Amino acid sequence: MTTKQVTERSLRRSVFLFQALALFLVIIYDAERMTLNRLYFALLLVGVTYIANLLVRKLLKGEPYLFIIATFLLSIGTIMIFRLDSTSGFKQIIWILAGFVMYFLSYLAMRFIPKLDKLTFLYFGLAVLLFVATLAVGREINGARNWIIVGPISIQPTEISKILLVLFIASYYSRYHQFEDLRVKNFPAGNYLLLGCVYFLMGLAVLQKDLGTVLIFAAIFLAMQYIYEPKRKMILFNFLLMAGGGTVATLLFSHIRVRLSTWINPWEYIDTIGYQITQSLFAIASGGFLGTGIGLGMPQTIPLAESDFIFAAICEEMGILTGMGIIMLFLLLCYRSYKIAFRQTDFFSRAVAIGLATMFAAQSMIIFGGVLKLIPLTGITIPFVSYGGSSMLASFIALGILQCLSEERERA
Amino acid sequence: METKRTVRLVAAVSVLFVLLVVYMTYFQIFKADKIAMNSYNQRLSVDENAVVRGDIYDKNRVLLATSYKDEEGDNIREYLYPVLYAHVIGYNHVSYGKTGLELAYNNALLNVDTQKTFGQLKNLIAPTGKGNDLVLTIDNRLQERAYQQLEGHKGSIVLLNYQTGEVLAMAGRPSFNPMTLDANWDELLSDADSPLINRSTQGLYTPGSSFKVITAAAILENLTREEQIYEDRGETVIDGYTIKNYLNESFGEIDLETALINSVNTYFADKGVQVGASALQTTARKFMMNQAIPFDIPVAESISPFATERGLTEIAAASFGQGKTLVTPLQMALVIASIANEGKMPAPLLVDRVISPEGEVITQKSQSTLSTVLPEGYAKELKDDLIDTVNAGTRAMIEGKIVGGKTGTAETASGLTHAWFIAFLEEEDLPLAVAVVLEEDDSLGGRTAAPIAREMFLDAMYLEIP
Repeated sequence: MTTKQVTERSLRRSVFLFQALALFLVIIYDAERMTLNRLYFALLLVGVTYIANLLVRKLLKGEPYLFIIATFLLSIGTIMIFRLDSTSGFKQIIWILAGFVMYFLSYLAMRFIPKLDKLTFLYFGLAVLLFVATLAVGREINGARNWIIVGPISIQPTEISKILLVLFIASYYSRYHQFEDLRVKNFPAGNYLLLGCVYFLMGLAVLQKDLGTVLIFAAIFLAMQYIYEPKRKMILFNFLLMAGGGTVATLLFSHIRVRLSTWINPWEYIDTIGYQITQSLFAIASGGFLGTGIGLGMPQTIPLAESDFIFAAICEEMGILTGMGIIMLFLLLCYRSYKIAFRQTDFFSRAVAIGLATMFAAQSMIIFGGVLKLIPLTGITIPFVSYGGSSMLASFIALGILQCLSEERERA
Repeated sequence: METKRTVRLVAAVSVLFVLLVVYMTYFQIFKADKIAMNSYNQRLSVDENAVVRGDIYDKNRVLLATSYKDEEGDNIREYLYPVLYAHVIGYNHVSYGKTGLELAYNNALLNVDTQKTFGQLKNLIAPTGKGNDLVLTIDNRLQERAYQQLEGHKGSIVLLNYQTGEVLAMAGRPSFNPMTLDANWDELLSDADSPLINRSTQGLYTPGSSFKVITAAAILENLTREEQIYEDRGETVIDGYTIKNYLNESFGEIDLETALINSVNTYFADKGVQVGASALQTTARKFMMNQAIPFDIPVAESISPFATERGLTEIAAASFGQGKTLVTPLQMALVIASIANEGKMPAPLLVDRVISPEGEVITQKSQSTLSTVLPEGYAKELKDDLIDTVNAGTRAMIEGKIVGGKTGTAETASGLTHAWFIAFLEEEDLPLAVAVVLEEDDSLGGRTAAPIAREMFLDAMYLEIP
């Protein structure tokens, strides 16, 4: 038995040990209101994740850890969501199942669709289309107009746009020389083509008041530009543009100023605009290192405890140590994703891996920092952990792509 | 190049993740407690409906406050003497918050373990559902008498044991009914007489001549016997400002004792200036002026201007308790207590012990000395002077008993004087000190406040000595 197998197996075991312990607590807490639902939920979660892991292990080669880490994260999240609201807990399991399907589909697409690296402007066009559709028929929920309501389902298309952005930038740099010398009259348009496109997308996100997405876009763009941009001056130019754009946007939009003032001193506005963040801080502060125990805290007092603020709810009931565990799981997830890039021979594949790893890193850090009041709060979800179908599907699509990329060298 | 940059990116991302973990540790250790105790944290109020708030008793186990659950399962707080203890016990209201002992002893009354996680674990295993009880040092009968004595006045009475510091009565008027806050709140807030204020601990009054006890202590400690002698002409001019005695009386050659007996303003003004601001400041600080007095409920800091004022007129005025000097009634009760207790100021006590619903003592307050105000010899001398002061014809005299004290009639900006009397009763089984202040009463302390102090002593002797 090799060391690799041992660590892989022990990681799997710790996921199931966590599930067993946490689900036991979920079943027994508040004994007076105990229902069979809790048992069904427990069996469902364990069953679904067990079968999915079995399939991944038997069918797919390549990087084994990514899927286990995702399983760990979604176990923590789903258990917390179920504890907050059992209906959402069951729904989330359905989203996880759908996520598994998307995982395999995106894996297959990545593996068998040829010339994915050549579709540069298809990715861009799709992203623009999603934004425009959202702006046209979208609804404003919780301060951001980034939802499309279709019948009983509400979709957040920006979750997919992030992946499209990564694919767009990766394929752009893989075909860099085709665009480099592009000129419109005497203007060196090639230099600014990528910049213009990305800023156009960020502008659309700003119009949706979706600041979290703007930040994630900026982080992905900066990271990929830092690694691949041959004209290094463009990075500085981009950086200055972002700083300038941020300042202008702050002056222009009152909702950005509100975010800033609630970040600087939320206690002053504790009844109004500072309510969310202070409730989040109360929860984290009340839990202590070990937490109150599942079902013994009051995470229901946190607004959006199932989605944007689930980290605070988890910290309250499972302890800051579990919160740190989630952060470490993301560190591992990102590290393993970046590592794919080191082994890959194909340029596009490397760039996509780096972009998606950065996407996971940026998204998780922005919301962790936000609920901890370390940075201004922007409403985004934690991949795999927060409640929400769009987020879960998009995270699994990204994971499926990464899984495929990790195998590429064996395919080659 | 690409690999090198990717390595840098991975390193940066890792560092940021680790920083998040570091910050969470910092947050939990240094910031979490303060944030969790914020009154907006709903987690704090939820405990209240799960637990029946503890009872409050007087020293003889007379029930003063209790709680029960109504049909809907909500906790109802009942005060058996609501108006009498409106300031001491305070109130516990969902909208208007908590005050007094209800605030200060909230955790004890709810039996909330400060070790939160452990407390919750304990509640999980053995839910008690009942908070702890408080036993006060107050004697309900004396509290009742004190409140009655203030009828027709605004003001405060603080009666305490000068050896142990136990407060036997602490009454203030006007008061209010903490059980009808919902109906009266706006009225109480707008009332110009501020009935919500606990005058005994939060009321800041000009002390007038009662402050001369502190100045006398400074004179004893800083001036020789010869320097203590003074030639009084009925008035004295300090920095171009004329200070006169009450009724322009002139006493000729006098010592400290005569100056105290006749409450000679000119003496204390001139001698105060002679002692100097810095020595006066030192003595005032020993008497806990400008200092936080530790107590079961919040006490306003009394203000003495010796540290900040350098003008001779201000120092002279402060030396006989006028000018910028402001004191709480509790402060003055402790001042006279420390002289009666031969130089040792006792730490005041209001709660004697916290007991569990099963009657087990959880915390027992211990008596201690707050400050040594004066060497024992000087304190005894000052004590004798104050006994002579009362015996020279104050209305606080009690036949066959040793009473000492000092009157005060403080001039205020409103033109209406505060009537003060601070006194002690030297009785082996019942060493008492009292401060009486009648606010804007426009009467002489010796006429109105002194008889009240006397009544309090008589009642206490009648009730407390078997």
